[in-house]
Amino acid sequence: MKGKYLCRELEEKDVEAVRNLLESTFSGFLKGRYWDWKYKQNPHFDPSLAIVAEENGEMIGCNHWLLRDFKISGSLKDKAVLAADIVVKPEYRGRGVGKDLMRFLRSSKVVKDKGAAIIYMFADPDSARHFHTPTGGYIPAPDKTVQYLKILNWKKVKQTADYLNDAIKSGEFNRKFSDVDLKVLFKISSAPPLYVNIDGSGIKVDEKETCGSTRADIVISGDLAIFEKIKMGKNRRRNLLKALVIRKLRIGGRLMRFMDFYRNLWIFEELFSRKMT
Amino acid sequence: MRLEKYEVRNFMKGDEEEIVKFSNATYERFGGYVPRTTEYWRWCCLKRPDVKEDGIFLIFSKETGNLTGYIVVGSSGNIWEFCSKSGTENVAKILLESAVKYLEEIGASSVNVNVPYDDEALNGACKQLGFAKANAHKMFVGVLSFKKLISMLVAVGSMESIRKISEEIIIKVKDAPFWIENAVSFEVHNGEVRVHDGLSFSPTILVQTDLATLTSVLFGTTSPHRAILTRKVKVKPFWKITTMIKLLLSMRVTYSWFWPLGDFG
Repeated sequence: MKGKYLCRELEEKDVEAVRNLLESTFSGFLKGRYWDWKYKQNPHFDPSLAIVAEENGEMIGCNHWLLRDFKISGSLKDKAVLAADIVVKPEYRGRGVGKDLMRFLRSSKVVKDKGAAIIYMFADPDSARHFHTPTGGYIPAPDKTVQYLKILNWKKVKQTADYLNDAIKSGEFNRKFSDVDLKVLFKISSAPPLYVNIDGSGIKVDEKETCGSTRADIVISGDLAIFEKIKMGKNRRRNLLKALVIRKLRIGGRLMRFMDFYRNLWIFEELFSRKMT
Repeated sequence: MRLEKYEVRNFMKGDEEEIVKFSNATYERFGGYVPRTTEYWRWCCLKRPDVKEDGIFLIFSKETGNLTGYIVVGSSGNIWEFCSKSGTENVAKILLESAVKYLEEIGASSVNVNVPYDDEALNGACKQLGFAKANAHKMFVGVLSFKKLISMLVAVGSMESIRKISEEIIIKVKDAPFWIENAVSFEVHNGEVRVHDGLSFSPTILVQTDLATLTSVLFGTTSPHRAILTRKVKVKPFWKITTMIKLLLSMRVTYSWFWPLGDFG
């Protein structure tokens, strides 16, 4: 299978397919106007720095670079390449397409002719460690940017709860809520309270501290950053326990109810697995 | 109370040039971002699909009439640019409050913002309004041409410390991938540095290292001392180590980098 695809420069006829590929990956982002704005309308867009991978006439991946003015330090400004969106169709991943897309541009004469000395990109540290650093020789930049986040509402978690209720009713999960009766209150800094009530009828999510006069069985409180770390980590159960042991996350309630919570952690994993914000 | 001194209004056509000038002056002390031009700013902020003119807030001093800060808010919840005159925590707070109010009104579910680590006004405003630190994305950097990068760095670097050095140096990069030079050579005489690619002469100092180490030393994230002590940079002959440290110190990025969220894409 490997090696059947071909990497080449983007042509006008590819634009529609590339736009669809990118927007299916970043679904919902900017409601389908992403590619046009980022590339077509971009004063720095150069189509020779966009490439595609094609197999039997099907577009299976693309990679975009943008040549920008860049301030390196003090008075030093130069052209630099932003390694922007690189996408491979999910069914073609794991075959080295992304690696080839990255290397194709690196070795291209077009890139050499542009005369840029540096290349930069933005990625989550995990994907950078596993893909970008070994493939592209990237290192963490001397970056002193502080990123802040505040959650205004749990609208997206509520949407996930609705989706989960439907999926469980239709038997998609092969698991049931019939033996669960649990009320959990999340008091996370920089976010409104989140009250999750799970019983035989499904999951109910509310932005309150109590549901009527009913109080929560378990109260979990902590910092949003810790919460995000647990969510993003590979082993969420281990990370949760670790956060509890080192008191980064506090849990209130009876031990038996905590055992119930731990036993049903899969529900919360599903609930927070999708976009929360 | 706080608004007695300031006036806040939304973006109006013609504000671009003042904003660009203000932004470049505010972030002058950093590297790592795209210096703003009116053309870039229009594309990056004004034309961005999730930004409307009523999501861009400007704040002016009533006393002087000068722009003292601005914020560009997207309906996705991202604050693409957030800039305020240094030392004006009130200004930063007013702007951030306007942004949060705007996002609440349009039903966004979260707010994301990037600020420089040393800007107390912006950091203070974020903390006061209940923001938490997040680690969503990090910036990574790589080299496409060592020859060009070193040439640029020596052109702007402080050459005072190497004025008495006269050496011919070759740096070999043992794991250089095919798209980059596996050796860079340079001559240093009387504080002047001439860089060549490849092995152009018989060196007086031979340095062996790897791609990640050389890149980290040049971008200032690893000190040359540490790289040499950990044997990630090997210098031959060894008695030229101090000379090599002086040289590496004079040609590396010393600025901290900051990227407004708008540069992300």
